[in-house]
Amino acid sequence: MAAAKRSIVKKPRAIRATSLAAATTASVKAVLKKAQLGGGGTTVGILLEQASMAARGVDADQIAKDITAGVAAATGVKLKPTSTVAGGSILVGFAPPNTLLKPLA
Amino acid sequence: MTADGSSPRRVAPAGSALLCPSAQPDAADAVVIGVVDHAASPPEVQYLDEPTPVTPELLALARPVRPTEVYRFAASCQQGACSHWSGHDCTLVTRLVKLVPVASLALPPCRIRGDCRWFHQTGRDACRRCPLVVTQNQAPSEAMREAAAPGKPG
Repeated sequence: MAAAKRSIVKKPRAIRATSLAAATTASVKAVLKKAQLGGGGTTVGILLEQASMAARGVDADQIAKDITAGVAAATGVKLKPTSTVAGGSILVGFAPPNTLLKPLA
Repeated sequence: MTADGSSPRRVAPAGSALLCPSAQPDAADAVVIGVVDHAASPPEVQYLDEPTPVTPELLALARPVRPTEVYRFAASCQQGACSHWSGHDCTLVTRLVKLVPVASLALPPCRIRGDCRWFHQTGRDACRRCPLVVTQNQAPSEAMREAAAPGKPG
């Protein structure tokens, strides 16, 4: 509890732009490690660019639901929908469990 | 004056649009404002002391993952071209403030605050949650997933 309280009031410090490469490498390694542990879907995903789809009158959310239902019906694998937070180009993807690769292989 | 003791500096050219703090790297004026610390749980953005222009070399550093998974980019708010735009403000930050718990009571050492759409719209409430925002998040929390869904009222 005390540790949690400390962490929420800690004063964050900026990292130097000159350390950007090292920070990037560490971040990428952590992402890949999570993916290896099954916690991510960085190699397989379906991305729907919502802004441009909306401009064409296409509902990306509905497309995402249709894809999820279609894959589940065909393979029994339930895709995990992944929301993203972005400005300008909004993406909605899916981070399927790595096991998805097996039934489709 | 901000909580980290520095004054917000203008990054965007005078008279230009406010900056989206969770932009895509392909925007013409995109800069990197932070790197996501994925070793933290939940992942948390480490802000740069100076926004850095996006270069092909910088984007290549993120391979094999997507740049939006490891960097936070800022670029001019796309307003009507973005599905989070209500017509007069950003609904994304409204939902973030409503749904996502604060990351820290202290404001992050962000260098775009003076030009930030989110800060201009919701003030420090946005800044206290901003470190938790990963532009392309493969494993978002339920609150973040809900906040990220465009089209829902804020």
